[in-house]
Amino acid sequence: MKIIWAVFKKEGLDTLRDRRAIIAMIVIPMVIFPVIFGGLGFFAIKEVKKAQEKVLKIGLIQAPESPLVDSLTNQEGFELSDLPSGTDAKDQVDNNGLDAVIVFNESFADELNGTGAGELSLHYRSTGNGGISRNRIMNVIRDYQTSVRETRIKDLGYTLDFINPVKVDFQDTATQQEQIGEAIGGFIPYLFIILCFTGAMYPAIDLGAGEKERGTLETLLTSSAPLIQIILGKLALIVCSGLFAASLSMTSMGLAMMSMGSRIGDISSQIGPMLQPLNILLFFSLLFPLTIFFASFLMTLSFFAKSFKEAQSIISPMMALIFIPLIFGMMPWVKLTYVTAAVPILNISLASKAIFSGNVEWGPVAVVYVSLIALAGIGFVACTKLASKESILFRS
Amino acid sequence: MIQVEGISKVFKKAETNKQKVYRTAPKTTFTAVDNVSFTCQPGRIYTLLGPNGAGKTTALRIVASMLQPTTGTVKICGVDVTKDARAARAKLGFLTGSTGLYNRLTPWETLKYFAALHQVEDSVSQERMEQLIDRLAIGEFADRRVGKLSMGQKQRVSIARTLMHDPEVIIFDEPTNGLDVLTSRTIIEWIRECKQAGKTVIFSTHIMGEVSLLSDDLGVIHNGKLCYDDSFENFKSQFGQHSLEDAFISILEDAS
Repeated sequence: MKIIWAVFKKEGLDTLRDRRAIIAMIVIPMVIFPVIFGGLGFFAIKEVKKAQEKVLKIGLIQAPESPLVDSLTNQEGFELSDLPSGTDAKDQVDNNGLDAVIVFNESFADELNGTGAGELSLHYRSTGNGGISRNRIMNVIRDYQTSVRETRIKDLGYTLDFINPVKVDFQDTATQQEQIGEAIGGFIPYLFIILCFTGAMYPAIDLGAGEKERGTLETLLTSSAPLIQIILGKLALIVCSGLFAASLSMTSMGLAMMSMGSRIGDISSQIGPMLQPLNILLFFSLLFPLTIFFASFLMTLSFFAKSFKEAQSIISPMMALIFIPLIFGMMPWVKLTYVTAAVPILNISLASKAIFSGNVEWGPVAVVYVSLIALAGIGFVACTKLASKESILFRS
Repeated sequence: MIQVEGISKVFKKAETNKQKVYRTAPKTTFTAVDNVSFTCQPGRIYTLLGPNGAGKTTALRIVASMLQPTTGTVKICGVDVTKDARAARAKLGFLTGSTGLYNRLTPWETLKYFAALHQVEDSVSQERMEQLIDRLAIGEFADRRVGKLSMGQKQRVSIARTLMHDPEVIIFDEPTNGLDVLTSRTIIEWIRECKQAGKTVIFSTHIMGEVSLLSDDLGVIHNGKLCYDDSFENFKSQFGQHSLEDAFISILEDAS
């Protein structure tokens, strides 16, 4: 135990003095959530607000005398201009700085004065904030459409129920937490698992292939310390690094939401209830065996590699092995069953989705624990066996 | 004392790219060390001389119990390294030219770490660290990170690390490889000091000058085989009329 602790302490000190490890273990997990919530969320909301408040320049071609044109003219934030008939509407939107061009059919007013449908075409660019501009124009058109519909129905002596014979009142039985858990419950563990892996990855490469490359492994192996204890000390440090990165990202997310709650609107109020202490505890209890597996897996590959660079090139593509089940776990139709509970990584993604949405079925969750603990055990045994082989340690 | 009896080491030869692509040639083996036997006595320096790739490092790694021999036995102070590697390692120190130090640790932390790995009692380790730091003049940079030290300073730390658990047997695997004259001189002096302290010293090199400076006994290794094993005095009298280099080449030619 004394040797394991000595190795753990030394590796910890060594890792904490390594700038690259600090970036992977501390800086990235600390920064990622403030960037997501503070940066992306803040700027997205700001952009939407800007697009909603922007004065839209709208060109009208063949505009009739119509209440619709009056509504458009009176709408705050719209700047209308009449364009000659035959003007290329596409060119006006693409090259002349107009946000939209409405081309009215010649018979637009006549059709509406009768019982027909007035036709118009709305030209806009859907890229950028064009979608928001289109919605603002469509809101005015829809209001006009509704008023014309009501007038026509009344003129016929009917009420609106005549054209809406069935009224549906939607009553969602899912709680708000369940809805949010379903929507983003898969995404949050996805980030934590990735950060846990990347947090463990750098120390693992440094503690195996890095030692080989620097020639320190040779001196380490000539000490009378049992190899298994040296490996255990190293694994313990890698596990701690992974969990530390995940915890840090969790803390950073909490802090980001607390400090930016009002600015980022609904996001914090949606995620907040999911992050109950019990949920976090359950999530970390799932993450712990998975991190042991990650550490063993990374350590084995790291010892196998001849150099730091080779270890990076072997390990980096392995990220795909984690991404694939995690992405599956984010799909709304993939549920935690006794079968999916046995699939590593996918199971933790689904289980955490269930935990965060407050919809836990303990049977499959127990299978997840068994599966992850078995995986950690297999990974650990394989690591100690392979890392003890001289063909791996002295591979050249 | 080191007793090496008939050790061999056979490796699977790595496939060439062509073999990998066409899967034509079967895997072959490569004998790095072939039936090597020698003995190193306490208070004497045994030099293992050989050209690059002769099998010196593999032989020394077997002696240090890092590699398992395919055949043969190695005993360190009576302990069979294949049967009780840990007990054997407790009696030996291993030093290479690459120093094998952790750049982000200080010399002080390095010594403390290796004392813990060798399970040296805390009360003993503190005193020994102070002694080594004093004798090797490490004090002025003991708290500076190893990565910032000069090569000579690093080698002194490396020697201190090797001696931290006071081993009876010390293996120096090409310790002066790539070092400047002054740093090499420090190492040579330390190898002599180890001998004077009654330790069993085995030293590998391909540099003739070091052989005459240090050797009590000499083994010449070529293509994995030990082609000369006798005292350095006998070597000199046998090849007296030749320079050391000529004598070495003559042995290699006879062995080929």
